[in-house]
Amino acid sequence: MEADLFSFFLCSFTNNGATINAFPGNAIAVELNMAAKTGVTLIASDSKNPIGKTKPGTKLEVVSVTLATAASGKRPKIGARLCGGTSTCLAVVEV
Amino acid sequence: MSATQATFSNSRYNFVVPVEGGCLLYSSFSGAVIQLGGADAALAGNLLASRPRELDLEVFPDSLLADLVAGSFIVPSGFDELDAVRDHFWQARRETALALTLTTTLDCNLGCYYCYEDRSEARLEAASAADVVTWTRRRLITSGKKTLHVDWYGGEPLLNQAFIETASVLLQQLCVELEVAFSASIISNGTCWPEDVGAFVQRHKIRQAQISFDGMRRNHDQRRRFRDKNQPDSSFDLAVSLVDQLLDFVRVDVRINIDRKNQADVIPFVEFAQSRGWFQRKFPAVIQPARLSAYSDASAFMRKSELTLSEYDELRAAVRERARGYFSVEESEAPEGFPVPRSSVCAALANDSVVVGADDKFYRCGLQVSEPHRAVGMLRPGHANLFPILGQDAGQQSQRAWWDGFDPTVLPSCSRCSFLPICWGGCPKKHLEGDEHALQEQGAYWRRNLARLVADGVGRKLDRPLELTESDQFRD
Repeated sequence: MEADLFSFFLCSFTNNGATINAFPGNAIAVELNMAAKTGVTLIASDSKNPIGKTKPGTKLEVVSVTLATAASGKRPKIGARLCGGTSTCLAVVEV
Repeated sequence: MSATQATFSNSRYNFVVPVEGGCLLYSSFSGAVIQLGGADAALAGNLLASRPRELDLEVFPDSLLADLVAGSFIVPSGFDELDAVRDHFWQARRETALALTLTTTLDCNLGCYYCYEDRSEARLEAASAADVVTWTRRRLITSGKKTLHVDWYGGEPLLNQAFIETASVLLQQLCVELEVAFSASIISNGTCWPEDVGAFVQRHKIRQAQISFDGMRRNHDQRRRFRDKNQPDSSFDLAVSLVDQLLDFVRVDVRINIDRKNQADVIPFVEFAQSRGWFQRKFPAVIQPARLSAYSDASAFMRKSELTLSEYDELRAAVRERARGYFSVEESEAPEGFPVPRSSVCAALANDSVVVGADDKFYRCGLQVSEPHRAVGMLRPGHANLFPILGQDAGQQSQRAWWDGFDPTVLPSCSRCSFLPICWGGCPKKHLEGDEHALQEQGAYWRRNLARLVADGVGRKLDRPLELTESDQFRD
C-alpha cells in the first residue's frame, strides 16, 4: 500500500510546516518509513542531517506521564459567569 | 476492537508546549495534559498537534497510546469533534444555574468618566419585587433548577437598598418553599454600604462581592469622583474601609480597572492591598485586573485610552509575578488558572437566566441595561402571558431570537478554531455587535497565553515564552 507523504518539521511549533527552530541547535528531521502500514505516517524532511531515522516497525522513543486527566480537567458545574473575555466587563460569579 | 486495530486520527484540539525536559501535550477538548520525554518527544508532540490526519498507531509505545486515547488526543477516524463540542455547549446552556441579575437602579453616586451607563434615576420599585418573584417561581418550576443565584447590580445597587431588602426576603422565602438553594453576589463601588456590613452580607446570603478600584487614592478619587461636589469623603477611603470590613464575612473580588492613564498604579495598589493584610484574612481578597475598554456602544470612546492586549497582558504578568504564593489573581478567561474545557456559559447565554433592568425590562446581558433597544422582554407584559419574557414587541423578539440561537460552533471562524472548547466564542455580546476588534483580541489572548496557562497549571516551566500562531489556531 502506498503511503501518504507530507513534510513535517519537528522544530515547528506552529504546526504549519514553517521551518522555525523550536529547539535551537537541533536541525531536526526524522524519517519514518511506514509504507507498509495503513493510514500513513511517512514523515520526511529535506534536511541533510536528520537526527534520526526510524526503521519500519519501530516505535517512537517517547516516555510519557499524564499530568492532568480528562476527568480532572472537567470544570465543576458551578460556573455562571456574568462575563468573561479579554474585555472584562462584569463580575465572574461562580454559582 | 483494540486501539491498535481501529483507525484513529489526531484531534484538532491538541497543542504542544515545550517545557524543560521535554514537551507537554494538551487537549483543549478534554483538558488532559501528558508530558512527553525521550528522543522523539518533540516529534510525537508535533505530529499529534498538527493538522488532523489518520495515524499509524504502531509508531506509539503502548503506554503512550493508552494515555492518548484516554485524553482524547487521538479519536476514532470519522468522529466529529465539533459536533461533540456543540453538544457540550447546548448542554451547558440548558444546565447552567439560574442567575437572576437585578439592576436595582441605574443611578450612581460616582461619575466615572468611562461609565457605559446613563446614570438615570430609573429604579426597581418594591412593587416590581413581587413580579420578579412570580417570574422566578415559574422559571424554577419549569426548569427544575435547584439553585437560584441573585446578582445585585446597578448603577450602584446600594442606592436602592429598599428594593434589595424587599426582594431578597421574598426570593429567599420562595427558595425555602421550593427547596431551592439561594445565594447572592453584588457589584458595588463600595461607598454607600450600611453600617453593619456583616449583618447585611449574612442577611442577604451574599457570598461574593466585587469592589472596584481605579488605582491609588489620587487616581481613584479623580476618576471615581462623587457627582455631588459637596461630598467631602474620598471614594477611595470609603471603598478601602469597606473591604477591610467585608473580608471577615465574604469573598471580595478586588477589581482593578486599568487603562492607559492609571496603569502605573497597578503594582503600588497590589502592594497597598498586601500591606493592608487583605490576603491574610478569613476570606482572602482576590485580585481581578480588568482592562477598561469599550464595553458597549455608549463607551466606544474608550478605544482611545484602552491598553493594547499586549500591554494589558504585561501588566497582568507583573501582578501574577507579585502574587506568586501570596495571593490569588483571577483571569476572567481562565478563572481556575488552567484552561479547563468549558462546561458552563455566561449568564447571558444560560437558557434560564435573565437580567432585570431598572426599567422593568428583561435583558440577556448586564451590559445592555442602558440600551432599551436590546431588551428581550418585559417583567410586566401588557396582557396575561405565562412566559412574560416572550414579549410581543417585534424588536424584543428579534433580540431574543439572536440570543436563543447563538452557537459559536456554527460560526465561520469559531467552528475552525482549536481554542473553541475552552473559549466557546468568548463574549457573545461582541458577536451580537459585530465587534471584530474585540473578537480578534479574544483569539489573540489564547494565542498569547495558552502555553503559559497549561505549563503553570501542571507545575512545569516553559522552555521559553511561546506565542501560538494563527496556524495553530486554525488548522484547515
